[in-house]
Amino acid sequence: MTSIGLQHYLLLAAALFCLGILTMTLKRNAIGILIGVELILNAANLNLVAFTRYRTGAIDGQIVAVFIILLAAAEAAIAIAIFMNFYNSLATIDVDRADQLQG
Amino acid sequence: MIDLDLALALGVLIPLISFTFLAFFGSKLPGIVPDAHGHDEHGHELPPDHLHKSDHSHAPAHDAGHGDHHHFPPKEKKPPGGNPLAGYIATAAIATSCLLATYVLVKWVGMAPGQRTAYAAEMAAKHTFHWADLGKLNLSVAVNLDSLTVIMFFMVTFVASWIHVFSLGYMAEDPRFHRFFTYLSLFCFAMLGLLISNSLLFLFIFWELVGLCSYFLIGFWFEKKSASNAAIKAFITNRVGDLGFIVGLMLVIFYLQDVSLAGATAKFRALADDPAAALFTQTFWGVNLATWMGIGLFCGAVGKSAQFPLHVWLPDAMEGPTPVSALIHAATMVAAGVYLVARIFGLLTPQAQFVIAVIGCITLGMTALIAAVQTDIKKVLAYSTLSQLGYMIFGMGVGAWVGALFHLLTHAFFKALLFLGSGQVIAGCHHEQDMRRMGGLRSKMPVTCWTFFLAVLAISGAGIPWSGFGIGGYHSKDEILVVAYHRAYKWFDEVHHSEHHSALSSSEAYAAEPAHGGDQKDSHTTASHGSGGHNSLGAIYPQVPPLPKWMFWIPVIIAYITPFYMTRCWILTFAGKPRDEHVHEHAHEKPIMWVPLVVLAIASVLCASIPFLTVRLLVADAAHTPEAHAPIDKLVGSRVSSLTPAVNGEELHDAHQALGWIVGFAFVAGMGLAWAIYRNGFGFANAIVKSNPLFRGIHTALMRRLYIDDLYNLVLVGGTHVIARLSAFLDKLLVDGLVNLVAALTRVFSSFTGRQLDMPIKAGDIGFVDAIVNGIANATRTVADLVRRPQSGRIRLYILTLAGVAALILASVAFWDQLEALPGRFKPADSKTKTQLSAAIAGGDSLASGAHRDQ
Repeated sequence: MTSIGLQHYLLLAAALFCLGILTMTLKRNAIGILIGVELILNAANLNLVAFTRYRTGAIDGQIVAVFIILLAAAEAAIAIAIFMNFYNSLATIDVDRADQLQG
Repeated sequence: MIDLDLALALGVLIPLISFTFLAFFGSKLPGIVPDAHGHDEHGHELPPDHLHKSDHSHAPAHDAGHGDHHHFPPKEKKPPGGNPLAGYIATAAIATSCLLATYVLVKWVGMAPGQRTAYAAEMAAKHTFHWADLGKLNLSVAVNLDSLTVIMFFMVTFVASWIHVFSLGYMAEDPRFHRFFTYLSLFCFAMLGLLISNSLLFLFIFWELVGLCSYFLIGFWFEKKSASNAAIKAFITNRVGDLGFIVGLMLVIFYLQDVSLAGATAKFRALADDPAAALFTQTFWGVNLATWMGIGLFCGAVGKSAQFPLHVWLPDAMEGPTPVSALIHAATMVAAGVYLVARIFGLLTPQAQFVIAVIGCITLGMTALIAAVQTDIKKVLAYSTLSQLGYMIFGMGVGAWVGALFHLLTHAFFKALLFLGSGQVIAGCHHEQDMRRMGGLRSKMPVTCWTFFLAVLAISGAGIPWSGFGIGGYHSKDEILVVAYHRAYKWFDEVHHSEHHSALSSSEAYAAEPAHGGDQKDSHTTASHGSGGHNSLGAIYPQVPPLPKWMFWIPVIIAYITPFYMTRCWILTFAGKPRDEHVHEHAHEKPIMWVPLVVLAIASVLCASIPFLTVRLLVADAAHTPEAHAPIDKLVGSRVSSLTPAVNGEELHDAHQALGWIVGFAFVAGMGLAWAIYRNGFGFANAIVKSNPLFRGIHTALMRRLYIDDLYNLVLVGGTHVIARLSAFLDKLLVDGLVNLVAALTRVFSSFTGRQLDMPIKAGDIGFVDAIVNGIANATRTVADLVRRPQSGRIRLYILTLAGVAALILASVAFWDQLEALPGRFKPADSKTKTQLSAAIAGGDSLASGAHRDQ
């Protein structure tokens, strides 16, 4: 293992992705789920940047990554707004309690 | 300075701008006159019955028994309704157009005839806007710059300007003052646009637009049932004529493939030389299509210029305000029909020309007789307009192109003057139009009285025979009669003369004759074209039949009746003793209204007189334009008539001499007769009518407008009623019967199906439909129960499912090769790319090595 290559970045991203999935699945706290989402998004960012760097050399991936960061911020703002309302109506942010819409 | 055609185009656009402004802001303009009654700002929003209400409250004395008159209260009691600013804007707009027209006219007169043609060609090349190509039809927009357009443009703007000024006074008390001027501006735009159109298509568009304005303005006082009916009548009658115009236009487009005035004429002439041209060989009802085309286009003129079968709308149109009658229904719009015929003259075959002459002849004779018995001052003028239009159309028909247009122009001035004079009388007498209640107004309205008298002289064609001194119709109407005389009596002589002496050029013959009267100047301009014409004119004479003699004598007789009825009108209104003290007492003149009268009186004297022959000169010059003037040299043995400028009134010296004896003193006879009969009012005339049953019958027939309106009422209106009754009956019998039958059958059928197939009411019924419906509902419910189970609402479960499925897909892609290798599996064609992809994802080594290469 002489130098760090694409493979390493991909492995890191995969690990991050799995951790994110696990966080989303196991956490009952809404904030925790949000953190899991951020992990997944960043795993994707890492993949994009890594592929661009090692495969084409252009900056397309970086640009998309910046967009994703931006969207993640917006998404977090909206999600937290939803959680605020959730808390206001149920006095908790335990997502398992949010089952009124079940079929 | 500014190019002349652009100046004309600008002159057209200025009234449009004025119209647009007034249409949007006319009702919001601040009033200038302080408003004592608080009605000014919102005068236009008064309820429709406002006029009548105020009428009854203010002037009940006027109301009894005169349903035909405008019911307006005396002005001193009426709340001021109008907003003068709107009127000033419209007047300023048309005055600006008039200044532009004057500028163009002066420049144009300053050019030599050859120079004019060159200039017009140059301008046409410079300012033609290509609009569209429809198949082979090329539509382009340009200003039609020639002498006729220039002089007509000047006439319309000049007359319109002074009528606007007059309207400021006449309409001052009207609550819809601004709307009146809005319409007037729109009309000016349309009329001027019609004059500068260089193609039949645009001519038609503006043609419809002036018709629309006419409708608006006839029905301006739409509270009156008679006014709104008259507007509808005018519009529908014009539609009938325009149908013919459209048919003619379609024939032009189909066979000539060119709608421009000059282009269509050129194509038509080229086709006339072609023996196989469908336009001339195909016939419909035994008449070739070329003739139908001419007659079709002429139908438009019949409607707009109110010629014989469609003349019924014009007398009714007098329901509109008097300035409108002066501008639209006397001076300009109704003359547009004559203008149209002038423009399509090159498209007329001899047969079509003959039809035109017959129609004109019938109109001018019939309406002059009706005019002689009317008692409503505006109706007299309306029928006199019809008669004069008949003269113009007749002139066109006999080939007096120049004479007819010359008469159009002189008529515009003196007829506008007559109408404005009658407007002054009507306004001064509180909207009294009945001459039986007038008389003796001379002392109360001196200016109106004498300008009116001048116009009567002009329309009578007063002048000294053989001297060339006369006003108005003396020059123009006589020129038409000269040509008619020539066509009726000198035709065959000329034919023989020309056949034997075809070498004699007309310019020689012309020089041998002393030029008639003041037309000397003109002879130089016409000689140039005449020289090419007369040589071969003889060759086409046999193609064109001589005019029947009665068609010469009817206009001559009417030339005696015209002074009679006009003088009768003047005497009954202004001379003698007042027949109604009340009307006479209140009669008055307003300066803003008599100034236009004086101006128009001067204009109508000058426009035809010797030192001011500009009008006549320009019209004669316009006769050289291609669409007015078929090239005679080319037309040997052809099927196209080319009479136009060749039979120019002033060239026919002998005829002119003879005419001096025939109609030279007509105005003296007519006016003398009127004086003898009507000197003391209606008494003597009534006695004559009563003396003999024959007179009584004629009088009644004339009062009933020769029963033509009654006939239309019976046949068209009555026919419509009969058809409507019949349709209603058939509707009840057949359609209603059918519908009811179907309904009954349905009821029987449904009582069966309802019992037996649907709704199992009692055991033994089938209930087929219900079974299907219920089955579907049950199935839906079962499926829904199954589907809703996984929707637990637990987010973590959803995420887990999502991740699991994603992992499954990933795994299936990653291990595609192994799946592929399984026996009996479908093998995709492009497995290679899949292999690469799975390799790229599963094994990082190759990618890493690739990355190394990049570095």
